[in-house]
Order: sequence, then structure tokens, then C-alpha cells
Amino acid sequence: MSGIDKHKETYREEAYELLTELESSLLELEERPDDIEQVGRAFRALHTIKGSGSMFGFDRIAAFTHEVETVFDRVRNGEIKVTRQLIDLTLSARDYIKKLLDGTDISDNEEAGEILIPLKNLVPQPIDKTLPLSPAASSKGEACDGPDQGEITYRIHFGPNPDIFKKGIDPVYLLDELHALGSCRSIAYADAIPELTDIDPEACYTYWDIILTTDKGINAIKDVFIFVEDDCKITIDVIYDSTKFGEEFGNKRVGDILVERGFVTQEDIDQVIVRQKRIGEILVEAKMVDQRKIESALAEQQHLKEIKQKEQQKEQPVDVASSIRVSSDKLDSLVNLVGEMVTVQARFSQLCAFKNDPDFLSVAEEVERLTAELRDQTMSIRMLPIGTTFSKFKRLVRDLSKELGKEIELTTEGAETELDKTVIEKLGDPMVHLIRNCIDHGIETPDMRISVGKPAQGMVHLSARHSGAYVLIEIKDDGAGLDADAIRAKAIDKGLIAPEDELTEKEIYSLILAPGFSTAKTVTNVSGRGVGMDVVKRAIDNLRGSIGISSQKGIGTTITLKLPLTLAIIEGLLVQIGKEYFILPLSVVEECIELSREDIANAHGRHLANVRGQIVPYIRLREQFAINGKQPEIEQIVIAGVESHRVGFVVDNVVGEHQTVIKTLGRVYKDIEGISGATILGEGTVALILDISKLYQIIEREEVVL
Amino acid sequence: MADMKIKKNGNKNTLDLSGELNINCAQELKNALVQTLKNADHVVLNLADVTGMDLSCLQLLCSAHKTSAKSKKSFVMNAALPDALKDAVKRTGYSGNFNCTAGTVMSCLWKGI
Repeated sequence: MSGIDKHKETYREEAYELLTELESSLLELEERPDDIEQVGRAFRALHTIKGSGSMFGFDRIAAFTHEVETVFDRVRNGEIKVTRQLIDLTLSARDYIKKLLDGTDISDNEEAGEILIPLKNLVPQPIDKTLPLSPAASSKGEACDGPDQGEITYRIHFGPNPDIFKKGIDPVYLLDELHALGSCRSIAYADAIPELTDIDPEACYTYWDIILTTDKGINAIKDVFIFVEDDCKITIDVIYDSTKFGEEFGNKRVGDILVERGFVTQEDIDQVIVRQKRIGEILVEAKMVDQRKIESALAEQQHLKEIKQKEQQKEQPVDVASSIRVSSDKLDSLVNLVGEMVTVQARFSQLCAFKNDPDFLSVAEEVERLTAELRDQTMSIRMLPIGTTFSKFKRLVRDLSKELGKEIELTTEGAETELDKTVIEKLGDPMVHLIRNCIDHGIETPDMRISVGKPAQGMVHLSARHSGAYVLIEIKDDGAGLDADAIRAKAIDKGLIAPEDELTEKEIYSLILAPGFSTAKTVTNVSGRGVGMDVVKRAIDNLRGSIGISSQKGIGTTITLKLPLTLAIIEGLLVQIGKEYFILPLSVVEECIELSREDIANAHGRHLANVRGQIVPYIRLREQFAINGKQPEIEQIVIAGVESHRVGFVVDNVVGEHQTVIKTLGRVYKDIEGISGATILGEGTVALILDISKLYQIIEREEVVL
Repeated sequence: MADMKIKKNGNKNTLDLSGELNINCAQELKNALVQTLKNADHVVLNLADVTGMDLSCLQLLCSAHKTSAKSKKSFVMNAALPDALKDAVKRTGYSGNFNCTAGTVMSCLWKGI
């Protein structure tokens, strides 16, 4: 890809994001037409699409967007009111820009005219200045930014009295209060902590340097220490006042800060500076100051640099990047590398444990901890809030309800819930289908709703929340609910079940996930063709997730998607059967108990264990995987939670927790049920990852056949 | 409620800590650490089930680490630190990398947090 093409591609990516931003601000604006912040958001998105568009040669986009932006500038200035028509036209404009971006062949300007002419007609002639939306809107620029309060940066030294705990005060709460006042860094000193024999466990030996930037004033800081100031060492110095200091701020050298604090003299600095090393290193080597004090000074330097950067960004509100754009391929390869590193680290730890050398062990533990941090950080880079997907659905609901003549409000909750990028990408289509189903089959027409005593406006509620290593996404509607009898009749008709089969309500609902199933009497272009729900199920299965359906006739339906947070690395429990190793996902493991020959005899050969009075059925993995050899006298049962049941899995030995890098098994093994992948252990052996819920289903199926 | 258990295995002692560690159990933690360090060359702290830790207990762990460093014992924490402990370290300003065990091969207990 040439340099120009690369820039164009970057522009496209950015523009798509800005279009999403524009759309979500317009939809917000539709709900709250007076929200001047949303007007600003929409305007900024249009402005950037236009500006960057002309820069990278997207002239048609730039010219078209310019017209829309001009109208929106009038909205921003309060000359045009936010109306339904304005929102409709701007949404159409957004769709047109997207078409231009997609490279869709649009040879004539008819469509552009259909949008721009009525949009321009909204501009009052002559300009009516009597309709300002709010006083702030009448001036151009960043209307939402408040006046500069004049932030001041303080250096606070806090040395609590050793008896502070005994007085019932936890100094950490005071730090919390300081953090609440503004941008704050605290650096604890541990050098006064004595050795174990001399330490008084109820005394405080820690003291702090705190750098705080706040606009609340020095009295707010003093108030924090009001109850402890008499017997604690507290000094508060101003190190930067944005209203008084000049250019030098933010450029303070570590040496200057140390001199200012009285840790060293200027002469000390002058003596060592000739050696041309970093000033901190020199001072530590010269034993003039200890490492922690240098770190504290560096933290202050860093803090001031950041404050300066923030101020510069305020001066130049034009998108100063605080983040960088990285292609997802690079992220994927980073995740792969981290995966490999986790495997190598496991091997290293094992070798060190084998050598049993204390120095090696100490390094191995540190490498393990840092690798775990690296893994978590890398995974978190791939995490995206699900809110971006939610906002797409607002438009879907709006357009579909209009098309079907229904009134529907979409509410969302937990938009900030984060999920792996790959999961989010693959979640879009199944979610669209589920929401379409809610709107088409679930929610009744306004007349029908009124006749059954419901409000005319239906409701679709999307929510997301974390639950252990999973995210639960709920799609809930207050429509007619599922008709169990109709589903049953249809299933019999389609030959999915026999007429004499007795099914629970939950089992009947799960029939709608079967291929070719639809109870809708009419086929609309929205849904009802019987393709879809099985595709949804397959997509969710592929994400190693599951679908739960609950419904009450006349009240509504809730569909719950349970999805894993990530698809790359999981925490697993490593177990052994004979010479084979297996991994169980730790997120479903509840406890491990022993199973002796005596217990087996007491159960009269049935696969049931008595766990504190509760009967838990178990599955013998040795039998399941046909592993030969003698089983040990005492085996282990790993008890896992599967679909709201507790089920045991009998293994020879529980080895322990294992960071499991998931490797797919390849196409040859794709039909094997009960195994979701494999991982490589420290010494190079392969361990299969068990799909607990599938294993349970297999056993359940076999028992029904028997 | 905090729980503390010492496991001895040759010259390696492991201290399993769990629950909420705060000033109410600081004396008990000190005693447990003294016992764990006694007659062992390798000391392992298992903190996986710790649900919270206050400053008094963090100081005790630093003190035990310092004491081990002086007597050239290995002192390691199990690799997977619970989030509650990481939060406590960050909140108290202990995170970072500083040289409280100067002159020994050991680096700060809270390095990398």
C-alpha cells in the first residue's frame, strides 16, 4: 500500500467512527432537542469529516458535508431549532456520506439534492435571531468548556504520626480525599519500616510525597488534614500556578526539584553534573539521595509535563491525539506473541522449580508476575466498550419501528461493559437478528397494546454486565411473549419433536433455535423466514457462548447471551488422568473433593457423590475418553456449575491453576464434541481443553437413549 | 475474617493468607510472618485468596521482605496477585519500583504493579 493509500485508508476508518458519533449524537438530540452539547458533538463530527476529507482528496464528501455543516453551524448558533425533520434529513445525509465513503457508485447528484435542498430550506430567511437555544450557544467555539479556573499544582509532604492507626484514622483515606480534589500522584516511602523483630504492627511508618493539581485552592487541601495536622508532619508548597508562572513550567529538571525540596544542595548537583550521566543515577551512586526520592522527583516532573500537555491541548482544541491508531492485525499478532510468551514462561518456571535454586526461583516468580500483567494489559488493549454496538441498534430500532408502524423505545444499560474486540465484531449480526425479532414478532402494534392494557409505546431494553469471566447481554422486550403451544405445534409439524414428547417450557423455547423454525404466519422483509435463529445460535456457539430464553405470555421475552470475555487466553484448572492432561475452564469450577473407593461402594455403583449432604452426579472422564490404566485409590472430583446444575468430573489428580493459551485443533477435529481446543504445557505436552457444558449434554443425551 | 496457615516443607515455608487483612489482625500477621521466616531458606507467600489489605499489613509484608533480604532468604509471592491486593498497593502509593532492600539482589515486592 502506498503512503497516500495508507492515509486514505486511515481517513476512511476515522470517518466511519465519526459517522457513528454523528448518528449517536443525532439520536440523542432527537430525545433531548435542547441538549446543546449534542449539537456541538454533531457539528464537530461533520467539521472533521469535511476538513480531513478535502485534505485527502475526498472532494465529493468534503463538498457535500460542507453544506450540511453550514446548516448545523446555524443550529449551533441557535438560528435553527432542532426538529424531527432536521434529524431525519441529517441522518439521511449521514447515510449518503457513508455511501460515498464505501465507494458505492453514485453517478448523479439527485440523492444529494433531495437531502440538501430541504435541509437548506430550514434556514430562516432573513435570519431570525430570536431563537437562541441557550446563552452559551450564541457564541462560536467550544461553548461547553467552562472558564479557566486557574489550576495550581502543589507538592504535599505528609508524614503521619506513628500512632495514627491507634487513633482510628487510616491515612490512606486522607490520600483518597486528596485524589478526589484533582489530578494526583502519591509516592509512598517505605524506608522507615523496621525489620520484623522491631516492627510495631499497629504503628504507621510510611510517609508520602503527593503531587496534586487542583482548582479547589489550598484551603481544600488543609481541610483534608484538619483532624491530624497537630501531630503529623505536613508541608504544602505551590510548585506551579498557571496564572503566575511563565514558560519554565513543565521543564523543571530532576536536580532542580531535589534542590528545591532540600534533599541536595546546588553544589552537590554542580559536582556530579560533569560526569554526564543521568542526574538521578549519579546522585544515587554518590549516595547523596536514595532511589525512592529520585522516583518521587521524577513523578513530579512527569506530573508537571502532563499538566503542560493538557494546557496545550486546551489552547489547541483541534483534536490533539491522546491515543494512537494501530491496525488490528498488529494487535492480533501481539496477542499471539504474548500467548507464546506465556507458554515459554510456564516452561521456565517449571525448569526453575526443578532446579530449586532460590535466585532462579525468585526471578521465575517475577517473570511470572510480569507476564501475567503483560497478558492482562495486552488483553485490555483489545477490550472495547459494547456501547458502540448499542448505539448502532438505536438507529435500527428507529427505522424498523417506523417501517412497521410500531412505537418502540430502545433503552440501554451497561454500555461501558468491555468485551474482546473479536467478540464484539462477531456479535453484531446475531444481535441485529434478535432485535429485529423482538420488534417484528415480540412487540405488538399500538392498537393491540392498548386493547390489552399496555402503553402504546413498546420497550426493548438492552443491557450488558460482567459475570465472572463472562459478559451477560440481555435483550428484553415487553411484547406478547413466546407462545409455547404454537411453538410446540410447529415443532411437531416440522418433525422436530414427536407429539407424545413431554418437554419443559424451557426446552420448548429452545426449539426456536432449531434450523428452519418460524411461527410467524406472515413473512415480512424483517424476519419470519425461519432462517436466522439457528444462525444466531451457531454464531454464539462459535464464540463459546450460550443463549438463554425466558418468556411470559403477554408480558414479554428476555433473551440472555452469555459470552466469554476473551477468546485467546483463559484461566484453567490443569488435571491429569493416567498420563494425559486436560484443562477445565476455571470460571466454571466450584470446588474439588476426594473420591475414595469407599465412597464409590457406598453409592452402590451409581455415579453420585455426597457433598455436604447434597447429591452431585459425576462423569468419569477416564471412561469418557477411554483412557486405560489403573485408577488411583483416591481420585478427585472437580465440581463445576453447568447450566444451573452442579456436576462432578472425576480425574486422577488435580495439578493446579494454569494460564491457558487456547490453540484451535484444526479442521480435522472440528466435529469432536466436548473439546473446545488445546494448549501446550510447559514441558511441551498438549493438554485438551474440555467443553464442560457440551460434555454434560453428551452424557445427558446418552442417558436418554439408554 | 482473615485466615493464616503455615505449611512447612523442608527448608521452604509457605504462608497461606486469605480474607480481609487489616489492623485487627496485624499482630497475628506479624507472628505468622516471624514463624514463617524461622528455620526456612525459602519463604513463599500465597495471597491468591486475599480479599483486601490495609496499610498496616502492607507494611508488615515489606518488613518481612526486608528481613528476608538481610538474612539472604528467598522471599516470593505467588504469581497471581488478586485485584484487591493490587488496588490496595496502588491506593497507598506503594506501587512502582523502589529500592527498600538496597544492597541485596531482591527488588521491590511491588514491582510491576
